[in-house]
Amino acid sequence: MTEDLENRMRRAMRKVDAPEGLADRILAALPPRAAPAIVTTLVPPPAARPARSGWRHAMPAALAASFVGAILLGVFAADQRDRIVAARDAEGEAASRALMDALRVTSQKLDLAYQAVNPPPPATDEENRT
Amino acid sequence: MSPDAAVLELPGVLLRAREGDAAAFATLVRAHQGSVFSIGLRMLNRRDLAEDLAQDVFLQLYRKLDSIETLEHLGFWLRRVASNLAIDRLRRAPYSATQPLDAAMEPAADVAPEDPLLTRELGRLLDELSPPARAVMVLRYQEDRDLAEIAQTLEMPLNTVKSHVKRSLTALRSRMIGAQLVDCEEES
Repeated sequence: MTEDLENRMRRAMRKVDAPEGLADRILAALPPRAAPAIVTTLVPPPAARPARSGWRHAMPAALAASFVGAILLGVFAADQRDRIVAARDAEGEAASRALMDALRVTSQKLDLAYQAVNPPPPATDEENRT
Repeated sequence: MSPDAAVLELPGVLLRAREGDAAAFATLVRAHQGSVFSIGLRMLNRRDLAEDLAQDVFLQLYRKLDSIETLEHLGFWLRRVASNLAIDRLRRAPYSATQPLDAAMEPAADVAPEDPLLTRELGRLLDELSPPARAVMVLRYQEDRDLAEIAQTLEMPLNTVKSHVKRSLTALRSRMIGAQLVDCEEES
């Protein structure tokens, strides 16, 4: 039944003839096609060779210059970093010295205060006699 | 001799068309215009829209000719582009089909359908199907393609193609039984 129906469908759905002149209308509507490009091998003129040769030398020179530039930049960056570290060390030492001075002054003040609060005992008679 | 046979007997026609030979390209157009126009007509249900679609398909072919490798590839490519363009147009303007399907379904204007009941019900069914399901039926029964190739053409899973065909056949069978009953009642 299905096969019969499918065969009947194939017959019912067979291709329709294209309208008269359709192909001509399609072809007339096509844009002009670009002519295939003519590929020719061009031999570079002698005058062009020095420029090309110059480029060949310029490339390694540019690479070398870049390399040297990178090294100089690295040295400069390292020097800057050392300077910054040295400056920080100096600041640290100064701060340390200031702290030690402050501690020393504080210690002296504390001693004076202690002596003021706890005066030394008065000398005894024996001591006076001697 | 059919146009397809004429093309197959012309060795290198595709190559010559790719090289810019206008006559060779015209041969390819004439060989495939019926198929492309029929896909457009059954999908869009209007002769003018089908003609427009055929023009667009062959214009695309003209631009992409360099990518076509063989005549088999050409046929596959044309079916795919025609189906996808028709699906796109149906999705954009689903109600543009105004011409009665019965007339459009006839193989030629001057030839009466040999199976009028099936032709009528098939036309109505196609009109109700979703665009992808319609394309599946057109490729299956008009273009006589196998299910795997239809899946490849429409970039659709094989099971979806099988399901579309099965559902459409079941619906068509039901419609025909119903239509026969109505006809019998009217006759009695």
